Amino acid sequence: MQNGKNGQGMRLNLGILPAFFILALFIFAAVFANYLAPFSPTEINLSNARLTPLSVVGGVTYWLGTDQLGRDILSRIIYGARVSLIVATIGVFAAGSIGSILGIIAGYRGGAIDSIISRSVDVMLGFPTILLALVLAIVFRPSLFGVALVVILIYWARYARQARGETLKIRTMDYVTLARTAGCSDLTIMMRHIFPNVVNSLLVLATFNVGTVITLEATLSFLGAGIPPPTPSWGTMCADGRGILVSAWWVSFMPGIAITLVVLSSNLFGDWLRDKLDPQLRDL
Amino acid sequence: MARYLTIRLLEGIVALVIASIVVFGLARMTGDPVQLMLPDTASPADYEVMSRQLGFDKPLPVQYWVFISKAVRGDFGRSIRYRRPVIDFILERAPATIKLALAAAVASFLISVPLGVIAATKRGKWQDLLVKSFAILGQSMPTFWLGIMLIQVFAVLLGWLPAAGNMGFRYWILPAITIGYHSTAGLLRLTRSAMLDVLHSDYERLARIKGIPDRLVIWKHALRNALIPVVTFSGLIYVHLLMGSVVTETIFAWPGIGRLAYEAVIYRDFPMIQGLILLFVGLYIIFNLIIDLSYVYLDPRVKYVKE
Repeated sequence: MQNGKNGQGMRLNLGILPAFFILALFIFAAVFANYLAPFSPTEINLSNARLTPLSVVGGVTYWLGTDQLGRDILSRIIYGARVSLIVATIGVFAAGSIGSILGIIAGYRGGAIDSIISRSVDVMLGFPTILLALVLAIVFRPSLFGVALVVILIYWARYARQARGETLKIRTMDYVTLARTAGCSDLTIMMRHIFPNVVNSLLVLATFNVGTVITLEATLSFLGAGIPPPTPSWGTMCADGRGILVSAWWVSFMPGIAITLVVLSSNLFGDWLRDKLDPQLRDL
Repeated sequence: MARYLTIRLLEGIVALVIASIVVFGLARMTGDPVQLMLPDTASPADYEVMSRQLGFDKPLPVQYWVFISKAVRGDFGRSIRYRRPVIDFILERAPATIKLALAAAVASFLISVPLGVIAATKRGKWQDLLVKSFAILGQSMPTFWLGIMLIQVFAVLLGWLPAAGNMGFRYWILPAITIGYHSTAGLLRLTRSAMLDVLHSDYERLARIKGIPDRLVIWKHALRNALIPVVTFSGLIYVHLLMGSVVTETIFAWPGIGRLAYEAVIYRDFPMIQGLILLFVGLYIIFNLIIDLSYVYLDPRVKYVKE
């Protein structure tokens, strides 16, 4: 690797603040949806169907309009954030933990365990994501739990591969050999020497993974294999609006913007994190 | 080198076998197809007859063996939904998807390589900023949303381009953009950073010292070395395009294997699901092998580095 003074990250020069702000807003909206949303996300009100954004009816403003059942889009987006956050948090955390642990074990122990784990990783990475997600989602019946499980099953392999690669680099280092000579057990070495040095790249991977997971959940919901109605999910909202695109484009447009903004922010955050933790990780 | 290749090949086959077992298991888990196919009035006796006919009454390992031995010969069984051999459908619809994926990949390459080079050489200036924004945005938008928005703007509002079907060149434009936007963005970032890497590297400086004109330096030397990670990524792009086609083809009613796969899952069409997933995994493995091969060719350093 040549001179490191280039700072060749893809971060936009606006600074990381807008991204932080959006992510904070996203989390805030998800957690405090009950207090934040002006209307109920599931209450059907046919007399108010298909209102354009900024419509004012009877003194109340529908900032983002309503869908064909009269449900307020803004409220549904706020509640939808909750779904996305839950799936993203559980999914990334679980996939990340399981994958990292397996990856470190594989990289450190080598041998048969490594072969088994590596082959499994290869197979998982080779599977067409969407197709696998669809099949799994239908096996587990469309539900929040099902989607979370799908996410874990699909993404653990990425963490395992990354962790294993990093572990392979580290295990030949002096301090590891010294620890072994001193009689440390494998578990201690993996926890106290290997893991702290591997965790940085895994964290960066996790932040990028958040965006991917949210998009996957939205895609599954869009295709009808994700979160079932009436729970608002950004993906389902896009699907809902598909039939009335001509007359009420905002029904599909708004949730898509929400997805794009959140994924964008988490990608920018990932770039920033990577630059902070280790510019050498640019290759991610 | 030959040993390296043989090992990779064997690994690939093992992965394929594992994948086939997983696929076999998964398809079975989605539900009982015999039950799906029988009308509600069917009796247990009818169930028996149908099971035996389709071979579902045999123990699982036997079913698996039958599946594998046929699959190797290209016989993926008959589609439960269409009653015709799966392989027929795959062969019939694959060209449409492959053409679309290729078109998108080519367009991807043509757009991102020059733009990536420009962004790298004009680093920090407005061209770079524009390219970077385009790339980051592209990787953040969900594909399905881009698809329906494109339809809304170009097909419905402006009426310039058609929204479904594939009867002519104009029908390709929107689906190709939808599939390709994501990977174009990724390829763009990669080309740009690979170019930046190389532009400041030692051998580029050496080439300059030798007196080679600037333009030549950039395009010939820098690009060839920058292409290495790009080649890797391109292989993955191609496979991703095949996968991203599931969503895009469903939205644009494109008669390809992506849509076929989606419908197969919805209808619990085991043989179809198995065949398609196996196909995709097989392609992925083959592509990785090809990439490994070209790695050895493009970067001589790799030959001496074993895992």
